[in-house]
Amino acid sequence: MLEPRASLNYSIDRNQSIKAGYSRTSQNIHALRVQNMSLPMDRYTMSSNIVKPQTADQFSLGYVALTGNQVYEFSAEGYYKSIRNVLDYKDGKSFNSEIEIERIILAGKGRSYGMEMYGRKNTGLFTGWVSYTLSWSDNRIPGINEGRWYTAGNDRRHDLSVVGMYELPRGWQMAATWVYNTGQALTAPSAKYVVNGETVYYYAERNGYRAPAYHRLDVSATHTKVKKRYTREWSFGLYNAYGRYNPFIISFEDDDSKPSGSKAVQTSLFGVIPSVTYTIKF
Amino acid sequence: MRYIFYSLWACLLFVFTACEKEIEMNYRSVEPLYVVEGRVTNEVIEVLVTVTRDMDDGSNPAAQDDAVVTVTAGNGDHFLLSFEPDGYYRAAGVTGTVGENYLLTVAVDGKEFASESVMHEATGIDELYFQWPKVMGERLVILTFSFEDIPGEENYYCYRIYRNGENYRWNVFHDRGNDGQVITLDIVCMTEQMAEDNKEDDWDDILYEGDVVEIELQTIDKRTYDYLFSVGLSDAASMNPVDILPGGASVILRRMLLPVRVPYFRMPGS
Repeated sequence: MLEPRASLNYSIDRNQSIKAGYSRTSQNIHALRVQNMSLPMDRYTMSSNIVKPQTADQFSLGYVALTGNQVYEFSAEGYYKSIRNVLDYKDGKSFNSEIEIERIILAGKGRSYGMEMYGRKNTGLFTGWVSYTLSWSDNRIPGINEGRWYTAGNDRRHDLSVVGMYELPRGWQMAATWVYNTGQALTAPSAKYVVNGETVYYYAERNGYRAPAYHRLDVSATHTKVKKRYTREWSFGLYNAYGRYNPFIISFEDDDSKPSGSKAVQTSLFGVIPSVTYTIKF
Repeated sequence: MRYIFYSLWACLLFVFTACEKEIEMNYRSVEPLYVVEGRVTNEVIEVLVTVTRDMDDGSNPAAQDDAVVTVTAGNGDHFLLSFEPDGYYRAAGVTGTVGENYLLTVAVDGKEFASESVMHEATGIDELYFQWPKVMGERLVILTFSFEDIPGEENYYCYRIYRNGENYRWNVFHDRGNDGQVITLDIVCMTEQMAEDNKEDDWDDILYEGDVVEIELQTIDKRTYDYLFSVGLSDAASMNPVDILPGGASVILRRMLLPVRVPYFRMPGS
């Protein structure tokens, strides 16, 4: 399959430039994500005579600027991506419904667009960067969501990263990273009914709801010592330093003790995770 | 040294602290949909018509009494079912016939729904008993039943287990690879530890001394199997079961056997 690429870069002056790009890509390995959060699993399938390769056309336009001394760097880029042969599970099917994957999936089109912004400080005792992405990802697959556009499982409206590093005397470096993502799109029930004496949930909107936002702070302190024949580093870190319990699984259950008779339960994997790393470079 | 040892244990405590908590969801309402559940059995033909409820609605599902419910057999027999005080539509004295195709139609609120199913041959449960095997150090309480598969055809079954008359477990399965043979199913009810801990979250699963467990084995058609199988997956996959009809009704017809009962008791000597 042909995958043409094209890019243009126009220098406004020594420190500013505009860039534009086009690319066509294809993907023969499809990752099928279960669109809820009660079973966070992906199933992979290869392209075949029935499952066509996923292809995409992406257009981008961006602006890059550096300060005169190149201490600070800024960029902003907008993009639009059109995707063909996006796959998703049929209604009533999941990754383990049938062995033959062709019987449980449908294909359609997708689109993704947004803007990425980035600012960086390159020199000095304190360095770091801030990046922010505002984006939308939708799918439209006949047979799913009544053929209407719906939020893709990988849609992430806001994605913010803040990274800072500070050089201290005597070989120490402190670093901190804070990330924030809009909660994952999930399919939550809109109604309930009873079949076989048990409550069954009715899902009206695929990926129509959002899980709670994901955010965490990682901090670390690294001590570097240059020896004669090698350099060694001791690094002490705290992953998820303020113990945010980010959602990993969200499930919906009956609960007779509640007036509504139902509840949503979030399961999180990790609290604070400390780490110690010893590195030798030679 | 001791300080490092205790520090490492403290670190491990942090690592293995998964957490579960209830969260608030702002559910959006949808137009109520009709839900139709029908049974054609050797004892009765009955249909239940309800509607979906909002997620915040904790009331019991209300049976709809204004539907026109008819069942037409393949031999041309036509029955108009009447609404009864317990919420079901029935035709007095009418039962199903093995091998007959039944068409169910429901007209309600200007909408009409239809579905059909074949009443299959019955089979009987030959054995039903409890076992208490030890698996990886944990003693399980397993309900085992066996029956002879109907030979010469593809068969689909649904078992329903009741504990003291209340729904306990159900599932569907097929006879692929076991045509005409004795099929044995082991259903894990609980662990011994669950019974000893007796936590409120496990009360729906725990069997207590003296509980009576009753099992029904239903022979169903493939369409009903596909539907009930997808109902079982529905919550895990956040998807609606297959066979939701346009307009939103879900209809199933199935065969029912006389139930077999067995009392539960703790493992002898435990």
